[in-house]
Amino acid sequence: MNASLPQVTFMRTTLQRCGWLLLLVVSASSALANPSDKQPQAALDVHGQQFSPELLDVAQKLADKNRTALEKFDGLVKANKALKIDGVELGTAYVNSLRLRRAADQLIMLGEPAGVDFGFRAGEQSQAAQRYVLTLKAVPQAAQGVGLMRSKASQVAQLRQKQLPKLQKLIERQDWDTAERELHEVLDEIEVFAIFMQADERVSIFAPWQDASRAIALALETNRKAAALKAFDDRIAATKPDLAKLLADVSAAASSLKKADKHAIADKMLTGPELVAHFDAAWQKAQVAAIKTLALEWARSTRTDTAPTASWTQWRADYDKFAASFGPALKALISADAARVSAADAPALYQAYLPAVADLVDHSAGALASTLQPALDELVAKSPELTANVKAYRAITDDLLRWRERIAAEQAQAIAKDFHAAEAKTHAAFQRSGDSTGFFEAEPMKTAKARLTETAAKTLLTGSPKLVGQKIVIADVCALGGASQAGIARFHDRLYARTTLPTAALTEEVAALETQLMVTPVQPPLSLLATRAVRGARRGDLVQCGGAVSGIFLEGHVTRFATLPDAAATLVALGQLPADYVERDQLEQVALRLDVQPSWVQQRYLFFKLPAP
Amino acid sequence: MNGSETLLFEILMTTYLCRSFALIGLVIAATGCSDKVVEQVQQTATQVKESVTNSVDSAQTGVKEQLKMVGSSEMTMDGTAAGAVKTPSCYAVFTPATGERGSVLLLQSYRAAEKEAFPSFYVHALVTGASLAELVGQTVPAQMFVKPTADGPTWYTTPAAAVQLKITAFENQQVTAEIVGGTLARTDGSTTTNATGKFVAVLP
Repeated sequence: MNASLPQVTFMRTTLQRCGWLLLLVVSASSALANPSDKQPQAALDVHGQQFSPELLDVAQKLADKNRTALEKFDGLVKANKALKIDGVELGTAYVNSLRLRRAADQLIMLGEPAGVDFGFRAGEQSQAAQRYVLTLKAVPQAAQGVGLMRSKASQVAQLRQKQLPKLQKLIERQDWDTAERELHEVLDEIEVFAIFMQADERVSIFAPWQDASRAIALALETNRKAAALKAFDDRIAATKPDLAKLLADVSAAASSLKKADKHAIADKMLTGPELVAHFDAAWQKAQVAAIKTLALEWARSTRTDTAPTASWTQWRADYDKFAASFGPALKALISADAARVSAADAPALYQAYLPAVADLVDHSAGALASTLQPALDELVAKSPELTANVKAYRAITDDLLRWRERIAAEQAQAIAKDFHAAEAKTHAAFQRSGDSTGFFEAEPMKTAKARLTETAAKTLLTGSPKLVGQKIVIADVCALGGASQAGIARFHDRLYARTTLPTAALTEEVAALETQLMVTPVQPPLSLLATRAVRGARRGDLVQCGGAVSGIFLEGHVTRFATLPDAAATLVALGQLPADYVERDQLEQVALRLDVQPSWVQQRYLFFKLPAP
Repeated sequence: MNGSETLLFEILMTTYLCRSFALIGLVIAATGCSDKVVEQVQQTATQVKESVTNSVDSAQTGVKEQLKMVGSSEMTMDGTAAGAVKTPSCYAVFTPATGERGSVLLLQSYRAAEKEAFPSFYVHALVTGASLAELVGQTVPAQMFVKPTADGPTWYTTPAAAVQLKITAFENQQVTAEIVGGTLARTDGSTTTNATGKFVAVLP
């Protein structure tokens, strides 16, 4: 952490030099959340810690203020009271939409998807303001007022021309931040009135500022792009996990276990099973950091001319290589322990490994089972008695689990006929068709590419009613764990879901499973399959779940993963990174979270239909 | 066709032939043929009957031998479309208690899961006893799964309503048991039914 402090300071200094905070009145951040069906006007969250929150706050306040003003104008027009629209208020709303555009552009420069949404909002609001100006101009009784506004625009423009030499001096000194601030102040003051002018009049009064405006914009664009890239590089360097060290730590632990039953790591002496749990947690943490790094690479690519960038491609390749090595490295650790342990100690060691290995395998969505089972078999083979016991236990539980899995799947299949696949229903609700806005192209009928083409609010208001309340099926639900009762359906094709796990309602079913597997507090399961069955059932993990959609949340694709908390590591199975979307419009890309109220759940080995609420 | 199915087919065919010859005899008598002809026919029919009887005896012995090798089962789901389910093989697996874990008796229609054919069933009972012989006469709760066809629904016991399995005999490496109570539910949720069943299971 200490090492990163100078970087942060530098970043702030560098960015400040480039005028990121030129904008306005920065007040305390208001509470923000992603847009949802219930709060469609909320802002998309930001991932950057420097400047992004302040910019977001400014943009949100401008957008809200303007929306209120525009709604008021709309009400007056609809009530045939257009003459009651205050010209200065309307001009100010238009200027605020321009300010919103500037904030949006800066957010985009920082790699924030929120900037894209605010850009759309700025466009929508400035168009609306211009429409009301046209409405007023069309009312004969408003002609005098409109004329006054135009005169005022000319007066202000003439008065402000005195500031042009000062602005030119600032440009000569390359004090771009101050120059931009001064320029915007002048232009905004004129624009409040100039919006009522004819096009040729506008060209005329803004002409004196045009050269200065271009020079300032060009210089700041270059500086800000360089500063943004530098900031991304610094953040990526600070976020990127040390994968080589993690691999080296596992190898060192495996070497130790060849000679002793414990290995020192993080100031603790850990047994083999404790080491597996330790490295499982370390891998999850490293994977979250790897995902954040990838998301920052996605955002960084928007400040370059290519997608994917070389560093983005390289990072994915590095992580894939690491993930392919880490499972076998953990297998080698267990094998080393198995080679050392005596026949007498093998049963206890095997029993201690089972829960640690089961959890690790489940974190990988089962992918590591075939890698790690052979190491457990080696341990079992050390003791003839253990070999016989495990063989007998598997003979009476493997096939039972197979039948239980079969009936749970069949029960779910039967009830799922009345439910929709989450992907299909979401696509149907949010596809673009005709003049309808949406996140997805009409074809293919998939959710793998979701992007903003309009304001998030407009799209949510159009699509949400088609999805909320619909009965859908979500799959691959992992318990968040801890005190939370929440389960998260793993991210797939831009969708993930959150549900409440009915763990209390499943108590009897889980107890019956344990009885059939002959599991008691003193007699844990004796196979990896049964251990996974019991631990997964207790956690509440689900193969799938059916229920009504109770909420829809929109998130920036970049932001979702750049801000992934460690507790949400299960969103992506261990050993994997989220799919790339190799295009240049990374910031327009979005993801959807659906909240689902469950009416039935399918665990791997049991099915349960919840009583109607 | 497997071994036991071949034997059953032979039984059916010989029974059919026997009935056919008897019918020919009746037809000849009715149409007024000469005594000699009738005598010849009757003689032939007698020979055929003896031959058929021998074949049936032989086939039945074969079936019995076959049963000793693979066992058999018959289950009914009362009042349902599935009706009776028969499997041409039935195996018993007894695992005695180890440590804190009790004994388990399994009855299943297949020797190994990877060789499962349909109809198929699986019965899993936690039992008290150190050997199969000790189980005779016991009635124990059991979990039962029956899948009549590969692509149809499965019948199963809910954990709260296990079927009652009575072990009636164990001799010559063969376990005989029957379901004496309990209900089965179908995975499509359409119905539940009383279950009955008889098992002649061999040790694999």
